[in-house]
Amino acid sequence: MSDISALISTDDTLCHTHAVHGVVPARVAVPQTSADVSALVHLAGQHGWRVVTWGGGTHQLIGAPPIGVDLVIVTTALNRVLQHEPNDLTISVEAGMTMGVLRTYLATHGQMLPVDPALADQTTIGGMIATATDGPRRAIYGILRDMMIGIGVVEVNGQPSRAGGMVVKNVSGFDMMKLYHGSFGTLAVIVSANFKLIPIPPVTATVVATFTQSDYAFAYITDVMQSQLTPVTCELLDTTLLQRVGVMGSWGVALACEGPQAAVDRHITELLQCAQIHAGATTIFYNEAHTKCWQIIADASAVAQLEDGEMMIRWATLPAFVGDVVERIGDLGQALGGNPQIHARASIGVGYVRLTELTARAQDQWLMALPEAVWVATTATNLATYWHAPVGGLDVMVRIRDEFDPQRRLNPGRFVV
Amino acid sequence: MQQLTQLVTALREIVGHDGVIDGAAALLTYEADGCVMDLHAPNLVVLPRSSSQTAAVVKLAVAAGVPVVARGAGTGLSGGATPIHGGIVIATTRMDKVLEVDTRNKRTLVQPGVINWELSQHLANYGYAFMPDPSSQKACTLGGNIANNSGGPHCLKYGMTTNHVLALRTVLPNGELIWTGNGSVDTVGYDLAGVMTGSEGMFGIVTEAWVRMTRLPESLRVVLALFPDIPSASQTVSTIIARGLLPAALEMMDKLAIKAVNGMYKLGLPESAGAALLIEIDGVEEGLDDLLRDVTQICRDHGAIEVRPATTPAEQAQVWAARKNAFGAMGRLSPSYYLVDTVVPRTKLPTILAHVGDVSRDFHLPIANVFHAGDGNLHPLILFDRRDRAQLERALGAATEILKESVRLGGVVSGEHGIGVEKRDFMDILFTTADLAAMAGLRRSFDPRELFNPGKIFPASKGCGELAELRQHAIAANEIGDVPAGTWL
Repeated sequence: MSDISALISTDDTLCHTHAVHGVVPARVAVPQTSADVSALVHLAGQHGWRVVTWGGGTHQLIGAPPIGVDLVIVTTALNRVLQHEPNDLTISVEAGMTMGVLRTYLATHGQMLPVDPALADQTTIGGMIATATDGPRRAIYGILRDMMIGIGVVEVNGQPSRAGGMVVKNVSGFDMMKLYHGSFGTLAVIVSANFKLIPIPPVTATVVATFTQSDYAFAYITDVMQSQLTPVTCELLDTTLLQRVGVMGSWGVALACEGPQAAVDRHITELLQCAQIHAGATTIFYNEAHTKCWQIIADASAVAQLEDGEMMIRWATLPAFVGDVVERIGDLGQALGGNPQIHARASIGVGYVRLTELTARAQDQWLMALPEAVWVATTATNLATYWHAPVGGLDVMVRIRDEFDPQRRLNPGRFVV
Repeated sequence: MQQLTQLVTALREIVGHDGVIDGAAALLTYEADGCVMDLHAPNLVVLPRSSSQTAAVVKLAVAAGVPVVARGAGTGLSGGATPIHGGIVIATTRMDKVLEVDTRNKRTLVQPGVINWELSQHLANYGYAFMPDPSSQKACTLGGNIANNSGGPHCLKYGMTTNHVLALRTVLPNGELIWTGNGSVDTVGYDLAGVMTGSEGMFGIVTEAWVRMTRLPESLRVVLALFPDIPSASQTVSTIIARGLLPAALEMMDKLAIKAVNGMYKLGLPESAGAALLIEIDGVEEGLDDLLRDVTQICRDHGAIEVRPATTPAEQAQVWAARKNAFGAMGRLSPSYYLVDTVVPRTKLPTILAHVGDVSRDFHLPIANVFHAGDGNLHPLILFDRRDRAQLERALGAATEILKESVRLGGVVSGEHGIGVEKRDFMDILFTTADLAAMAGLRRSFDPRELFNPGKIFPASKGCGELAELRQHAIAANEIGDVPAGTWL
């Protein structure tokens, strides 16, 4: 145990830099191995400490403030590749590795894990799993939920357990990966995960189509969705975000195409033709311009640091209703203020709205008027509720929490259960 | 007995007279699914027509403390629908409607008794498909696909059933009827649809499901490549995967399987060939021929004797029919077969296939191979005569050997057929007690009384209840169990 105690710090500055949604922890530990995590969580159990897991700290403002934090476990030293057989197109990594490091590593093998989170150089794999982080390419590839083939966790008593494996197809036992994915640190500490990979496509390019009215943009999106084309992103951008990617216009639709040259060429040709039909202007990005454009769009959903009065809402609806929600957000901006900035993964029905200069009361009003809200990130600590969409099966979720964390010591008070 | 009579009366009030089967002879039909190693007849079979009827049936059953086993078409191969502790089988046969096709949102609302093939035929009218396509797709149901997280040849590119489920309406083991979401891709709270998919009927009964529709590809190419032997074919598979060409399907048949399908489907394949690869690529028309050229070249580089394109839709259908019905064709070679479902990392295919060959020799039983090579998902078919006790024992022994070797090579014990009864005693080869106990904890969250599909997945020697108790005690006492050497820790 003496070794473990050496990992724990009560340094005031360190504790303050790891404040969770404003709540300063009593101590911070930086484990070097998953065995350290096991020992730390076990120690926390002995003392009844409430534990928050911290990767890059980029998602800590999502959800309600914790009831209390006795120990923050920082996972960033767990940053190793545990197993990678390039020809199997699978990898096992520790949870504290950042997406940026993993992306760079995989690129040297011509491979990728096709998720583009905000702040990839800070966001860790474990944090992405815990918070169900998405990115623009979710439109075709999905999120880590869809690529995760195995997981290693430390349970609330310090017990390590695993599920899944290192194969791309597996129904040996329950799908525990789905349980931990999106569970916001309330069931166990994620220490490693295995993924299936895909090769980096030979050619990539981006079409940004701009429109004077949102109606035209949605008509364009509908046509693209119903066509034979398979762009890997389909992102609706408002004028602010358009400007940031270097294109002028009221509304934009950014579409990335990946594949063999001939297939990408076909996509671009048809996307341009289709834009013309809907009175759109178009810009094409290749190479670095393409990469830069998507980094800007990915970072638009970042919630690592928010000013007081700022709020980011992730919302979800059916793809056909994205236009309605966007319109409603515009109306709410008129009525409630907040200068809404909007972007949406339009083909799948997920969007983000960033709001500024709002009182807590106005934030509550926004949320009441937006039942599609999946989560909210804000510095406000007194909202009526932080999880707005109706929850199907709440009772069984409570029973799951009872089994995995009966004393509510893991991220207490932050999630729906 | 009196209790059973009362139950039958009460159930008939819910589902009508002909909605309850209680005749001994009729019940025998339900004593197993496609896995005929362990048989047990149910006490009753109930055929509800709706979600509310199903919920009412479940409430009665659990009040009486009777096990509940869900059943679709009974095509499962691991005993998942076998009521090994008796009780009530709830068959979804009468809930067989496609309730809505929503092309704007690329989703469809189905009842669990809808047949996989019929759904895709129906969706084809709109230019869409439900992508998971198990070999049994002409009979198997969506409910069964969801319970088993079923796969199929096209899962290589399109993913398993779990990647195509958006929301489930489910009767939980306490009789509560819930929707896990509204069909949008994000929900709040734990991912109940995600954990229910593949839970083998132990977390509830699905009564409606929103599933994804995928646009039918604009174009596809199918080739059949013949190889002198299995090693050259499996090296080809490894190279195609490693080069990242991402076919829609990549299937292999060995010599014995070629022989079986040749006669039935008049493919005219040279029986001197040691292995055949069926490769399908799809997407937009542009670039597809370049991809085909690359794939063909890899085949030739690895010693393919012949590479035959199936150019017309009729030829493509014929080749696919041969592959999908290959199991049936085994009847030409042997009175019975034991189909083993196992997965290895794809680079281990040559090694495991060589091992399967050794097992065939050691156990004096022919073994045919027809499988999803691109996923590393093997399906050795051990051919034997189940009337011969000694052969049956050898078949079981051979299967055990193959499964153990798969795990040794870094694989698992089921890729798409599930654990059920068949493989429950292999689970502790793959997982530690703690791994299994976490699964037991999850199961208990849904079904503390273990009435839903009891006796499945967990090893007979380490029952779910025992594991869950152990775990609850360990958590309460803040104790850590043994961590076996060699695990990731």
